Amino acid sequence: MANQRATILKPNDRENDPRSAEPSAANPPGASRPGGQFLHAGGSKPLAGYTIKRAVGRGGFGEIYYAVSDAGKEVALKLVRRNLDVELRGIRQCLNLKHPNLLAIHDIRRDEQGDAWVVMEYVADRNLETVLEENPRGLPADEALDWFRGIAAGVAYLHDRGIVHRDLKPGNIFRDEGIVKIGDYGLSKYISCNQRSGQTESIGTVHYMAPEVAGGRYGKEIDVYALGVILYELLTGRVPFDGESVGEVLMKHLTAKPDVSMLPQPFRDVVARALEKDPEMRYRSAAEMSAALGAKPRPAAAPQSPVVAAVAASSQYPDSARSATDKLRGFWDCRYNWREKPIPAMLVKSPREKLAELAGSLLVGSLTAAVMCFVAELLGAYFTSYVLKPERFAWLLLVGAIGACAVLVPAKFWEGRRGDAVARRFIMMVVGMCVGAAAFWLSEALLAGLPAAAGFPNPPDYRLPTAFYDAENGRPMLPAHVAVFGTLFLLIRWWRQADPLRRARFSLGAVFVSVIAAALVAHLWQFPQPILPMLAATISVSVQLAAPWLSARQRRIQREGC
Amino acid sequence: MIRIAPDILECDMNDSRPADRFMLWIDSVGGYMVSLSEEVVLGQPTRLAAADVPILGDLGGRHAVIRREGNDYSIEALRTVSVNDRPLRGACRLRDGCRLRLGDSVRLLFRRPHAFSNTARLDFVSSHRTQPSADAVLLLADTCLLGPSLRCHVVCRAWTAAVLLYPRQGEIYCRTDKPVVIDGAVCPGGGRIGRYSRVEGDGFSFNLEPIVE
Repeated sequence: MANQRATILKPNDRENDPRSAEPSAANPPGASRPGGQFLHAGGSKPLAGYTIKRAVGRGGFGEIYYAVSDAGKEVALKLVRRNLDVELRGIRQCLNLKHPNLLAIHDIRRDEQGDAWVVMEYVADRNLETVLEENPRGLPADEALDWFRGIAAGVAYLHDRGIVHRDLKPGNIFRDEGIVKIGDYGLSKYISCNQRSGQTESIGTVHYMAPEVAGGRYGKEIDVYALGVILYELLTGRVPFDGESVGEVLMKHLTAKPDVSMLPQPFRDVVARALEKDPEMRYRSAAEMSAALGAKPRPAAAPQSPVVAAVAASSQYPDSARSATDKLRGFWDCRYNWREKPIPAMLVKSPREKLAELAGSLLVGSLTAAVMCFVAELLGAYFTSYVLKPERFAWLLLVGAIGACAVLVPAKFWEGRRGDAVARRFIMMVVGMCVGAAAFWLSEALLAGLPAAAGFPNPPDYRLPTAFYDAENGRPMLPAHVAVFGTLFLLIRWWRQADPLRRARFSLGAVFVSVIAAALVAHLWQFPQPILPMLAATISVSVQLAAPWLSARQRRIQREGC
Repeated sequence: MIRIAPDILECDMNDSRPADRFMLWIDSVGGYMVSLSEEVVLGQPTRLAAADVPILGDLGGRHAVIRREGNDYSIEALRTVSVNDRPLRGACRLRDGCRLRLGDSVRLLFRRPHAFSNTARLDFVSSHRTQPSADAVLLLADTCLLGPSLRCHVVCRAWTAAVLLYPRQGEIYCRTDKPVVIDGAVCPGGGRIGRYSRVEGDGFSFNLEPIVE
């Protein structure tokens, strides 16, 4: 328990901590503590029966001291000053846990001021953080595995008791007389099926924080993620995601792919799977992860349940298992909010179901487009010099409906699949060009007669091909239609607006972006305003309203129901 | 803020001179047994033979002697001792990095971290500890540096400044370029430290405790 490296979060902790300014009985306002560090000095006896020798550091939610009992027993004392029952409850649940790889908690006592003290086993040896500082290029594989087995056995025991550690990091891992000990599991939170998210506060050093922690999800998977980071660090001496600021590190947790190429097998596969962004894709428990490494569970480790053993056995063939999971997983794009993760069950749909869904969407989309056209027409007429005409309204309605269908059909195909955005944009561009051609023929058939662009015949600074526009009245011709719709469909990632896992069912922002993009495209190609923005708004609104969407609640039910 | 335990009050607080041996408790860093003597006896803590550095191990009451003469340290074996894996008969000079083995299992590392200081440090390589338990033993000669650099006698990684401890006429002084508070009194640049003193500064704090037999 020697040197505690200052974690990046520490300054924030102190600023945000209301207690540091709050005068209490033990810390009268007049008392000067220039060090400002620890409440109790060496030699003091705030808790009857123990003499504090020195402060060890700051743990999850309290100061930790090294103290000696009156009889001479060395202990670590943790002062829980916030005194919240929630915190003490967490520790109380761990009071009687017995495992060689867990730092023993002896008791919880209260001092005269009413502050609660946790009496714990004291470990004199260095913690893993110091060991890693001394080995900046990582530990030899067998030594790393030795550490890891101890850590995983302790975490597996916690998981077996339904407890998530939530703050696994090298600073919390010690080795005493050769035995790895995990500390600070008082933070652990008892979890049950209906209590997965609880505390809104972000705890833990960011380097070891799983992406879903940002959203308040504290399942066992966050421990598996932290184990993955620790295993990576044991082998390489550095964490997979590092950065200048907390924000940068968090962003990498959310989006960046860890570089595991330098790790030997089987570590490479195990680390990669433990560091999956999607908690569902990780190992389900520490025991499973340890088994995948071929690490024999220690005799002291909790006995594996048949289910875990079966899962562990299946994970020995990672290639076949992965190719199947890859297909399911592919859908998820890092750019999405990470909460918008795919729920495998949701993506497994029969073609028949998909077709039924698509037919429904198309019908709703077309109807919505009709209504929207009317609204857009009125808005256009109100705000701009647009002139209402029945044939032009019919044209708008048809083109709007075609446009909405042209988005919904490819989006349905791409639903639940990971794809290259460039390829998708290209396909959408081709689709857009077809829509443009259809729009032109419709305008001819309906005699809709689009007006010339406002600037005509004054050409823009750049030259547009002469075939684009009617030489006499400046009316846009087929090439202009194809170019305009092609560009509009290329510019916007329309399929996202039809994604069942989009953030909100209806986003006004998406409509706004579509309208702005359409206005720009129209300006670029000298297409008469405001027809294109009106169409874009129509398509955007109808697509969003017609495409299926799963609420967060439905997603959770689906995820946890399976 | 200091809360003084009752049994400390019973001690003679007027005697501010530090004992020959004291514990240096550094918050967030560790506990160190400091000896000012030029000659220290290493051995098992027993009633009969009082070792200066009592180690809880399979050792004799007086197992070995470490001496400081001017700039040099030497070790004399009274029982089985090996230096750098070679059995020691009689005495030999100690250099920075010497590996000591007392008895069968107690392993120590002799360090002289700073070239300009005669202070040495004994690190435990095996899991044995002194009594009272300390992370290392400091043989304080002229100066002792506490700070973030690896050249310091006590490496305190999180510290922003170094603190110098030095004995003068039987008393311990501390010096640093940051303002410090010794026993509640602001002492710019440092000052004298008593037997039970607590020293606090920006981002660091430590206290002394005499080792009473």
